[in-house]
Amino acid sequence: MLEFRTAGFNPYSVKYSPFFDSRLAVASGANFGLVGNGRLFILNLTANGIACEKFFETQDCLFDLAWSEAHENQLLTAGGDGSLKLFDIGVGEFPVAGWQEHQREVFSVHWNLVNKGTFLSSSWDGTVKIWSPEKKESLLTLPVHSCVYSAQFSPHHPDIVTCVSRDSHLRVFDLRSKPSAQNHLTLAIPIHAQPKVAPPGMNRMNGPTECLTHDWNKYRDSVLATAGVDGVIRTFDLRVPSGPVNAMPGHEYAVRKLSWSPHLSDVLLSASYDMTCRVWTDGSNVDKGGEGIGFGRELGRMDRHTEFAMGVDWCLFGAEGWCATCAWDERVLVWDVREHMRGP
Amino acid sequence: MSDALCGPSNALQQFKQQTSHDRTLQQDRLATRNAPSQGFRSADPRAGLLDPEFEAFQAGLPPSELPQYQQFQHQQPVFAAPSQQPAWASDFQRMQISPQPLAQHHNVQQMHAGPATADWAQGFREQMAHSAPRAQQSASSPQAFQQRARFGMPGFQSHFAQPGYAPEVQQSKGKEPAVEAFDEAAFERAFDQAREDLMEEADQVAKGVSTMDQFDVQMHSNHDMQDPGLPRQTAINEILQEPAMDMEQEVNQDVLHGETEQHQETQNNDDDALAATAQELLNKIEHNQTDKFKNSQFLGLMRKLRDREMKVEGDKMVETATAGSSSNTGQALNSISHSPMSRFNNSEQRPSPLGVPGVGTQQAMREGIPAHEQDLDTGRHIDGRDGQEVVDLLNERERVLYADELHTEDSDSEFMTTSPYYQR
Repeated sequence: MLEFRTAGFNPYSVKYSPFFDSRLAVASGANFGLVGNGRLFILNLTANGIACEKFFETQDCLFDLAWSEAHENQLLTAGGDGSLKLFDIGVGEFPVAGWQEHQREVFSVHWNLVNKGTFLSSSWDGTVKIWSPEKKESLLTLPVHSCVYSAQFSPHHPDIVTCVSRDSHLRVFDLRSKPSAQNHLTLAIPIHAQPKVAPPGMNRMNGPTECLTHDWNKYRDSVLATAGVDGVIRTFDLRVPSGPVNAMPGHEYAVRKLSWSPHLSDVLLSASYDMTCRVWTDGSNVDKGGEGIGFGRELGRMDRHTEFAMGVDWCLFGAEGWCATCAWDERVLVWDVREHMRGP
Repeated sequence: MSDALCGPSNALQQFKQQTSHDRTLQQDRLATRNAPSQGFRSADPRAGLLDPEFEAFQAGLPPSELPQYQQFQHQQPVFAAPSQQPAWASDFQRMQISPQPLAQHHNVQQMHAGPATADWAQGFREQMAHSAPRAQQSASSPQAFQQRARFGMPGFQSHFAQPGYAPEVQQSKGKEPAVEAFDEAAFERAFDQAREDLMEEADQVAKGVSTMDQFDVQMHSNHDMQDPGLPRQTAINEILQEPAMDMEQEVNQDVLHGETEQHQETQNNDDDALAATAQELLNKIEHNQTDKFKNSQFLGLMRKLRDREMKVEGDKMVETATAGSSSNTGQALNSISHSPMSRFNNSEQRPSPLGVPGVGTQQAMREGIPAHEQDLDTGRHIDGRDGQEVVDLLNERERVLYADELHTEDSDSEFMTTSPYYQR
């Protein structure tokens, strides 16, 4: 397990570069993001552990970041002051571009993985905005009318956008649809609805709670997972838009971040306010004894963080199972999930 | 409709469909008629004239029940229908199309007298004054808002919230006319009230439902222990409600809060807000006795904030100075300006850190901090010396000009200033 200390700053998000297997970026804020500056760390995995290659200072806390899919040295940050900034590792100490339209904290940014020319941001002002790095104004604003904690482009289609928000709904936007009163909104799935496969001991679901994170499955193009304040991870299949397919309780407190494995179609990694990071299977992998649809379960957990765990990301390269996590204990940990698996 | 959705279509065709319908009449009937100044459409004085009759017609009332109708009959007997005509036809004939005769009976005047919103807000206020007197207590400064907001959102507050449903009711969307700002307070109280109802409802549901979640059970028992449940609910609501505050209002407040005492008060309210939020969080994780949670720095910080050992100054967290360093003036000012409305009146425990009264508190704090540690973002704080350079420059120029003037008129300036003839 490798470790890096972000001294004086509490990380909110960690992401692997999609271009280099040894490069990481961490978005962080001073004073747990309550007040003070932010800092963007660019880290390198070296033979002697993790080294900080460069860092950028910002005036306000950084809540999220996304690597550019088009340029290996550029990355985007989501600021507490409502700004988006594009940094270039090779260029000075200031951002090469900035956008300021959101009225409130920006909670997530995501680069379009298919059409690499656009990215999106979601904010507490209740909007998701689609941007192009070349344009000063946003291309499109999708109103959600509820604090949007997380938004993503589909990794399978350039025009499908999903977001989860405080109002406990998973929204799907199809940007190809006609602009109308619906504002491209195609689906709004209630996250708190009764799951198709209720896990044992979980007879009834709680009421709606804020949903904090979601992620697209990298292999099954209609499957997503969400998690939030009630600590339950749920999977969704957009072909069954009435509610969740599966629910996986386990985290004691809210789940802050969630990520599907880029290598395995059924494996998830989560970071929670209970200070643990856990690995899950949603039970869909037939080879592993699942039945395509079944009970999800926890595969293992990593307990080393000593404050709220905030961010997780899988390494895209090399052996499956390497991941990076960050927490408010000012640490970024790079570890192998397989070392933390429990026996079946 | 069908050809709009399938088959070859072009943008122009769509556009034509949108525009070719004349919906003005429906819109006139349905749209709330505000003062004409608010819209770009010229107000039709006849708009709404027929509403009562239309309603009556819809409801199947005989036209004779309409008050206007009675008068109308007197005034325009010409229209009286021949008796052999079917009923609907006579109804139709009796309908009043021309504006003149009815204008005096109808409440056109009322509708246009003053901005309708004012009455409306007034009504709201009166109604809400009984039921929700607490909304105003919450911190009123933009800073407090931001901090609490921060606490609430990405942080922990709301994430630890129970499965209570808190819909985002209010959004600030861009610019709104200045008139609207007037309604904000009443508005927020109304929404606040609605939200509280919702929360209570959700709470009830959750109480019945949450068997699986130990955390929830614990939390509810906390509630119950704490008491009537109401004050606690209130606190939660206030925190949840904060995000709904309007951006522009904040800015306005920012400007207004330039005054010395208000500034102090803001500071106090900020601290209150922080302390309350910290308290909130700590209550929620109270039962967790694991080492991690006990030793957590973050939770330690929360405890300090709660106990007011730490507070936020500008962009920094600072330890509250112990009694030694605070002067009497600072104390006095602090307690005077402390709002009686705030929830925690423990100004004694919170001495002003450097005892510097006035706007300069933060500035002084800044100056007390070594230069290399200072945050460069001074723009956020109201600087008493703002613009002083310009003023100095102007004064300087004036002085020079004045001197020049003197020289051109008479080279002996000393004579001029001493001479009794010098008029100046």
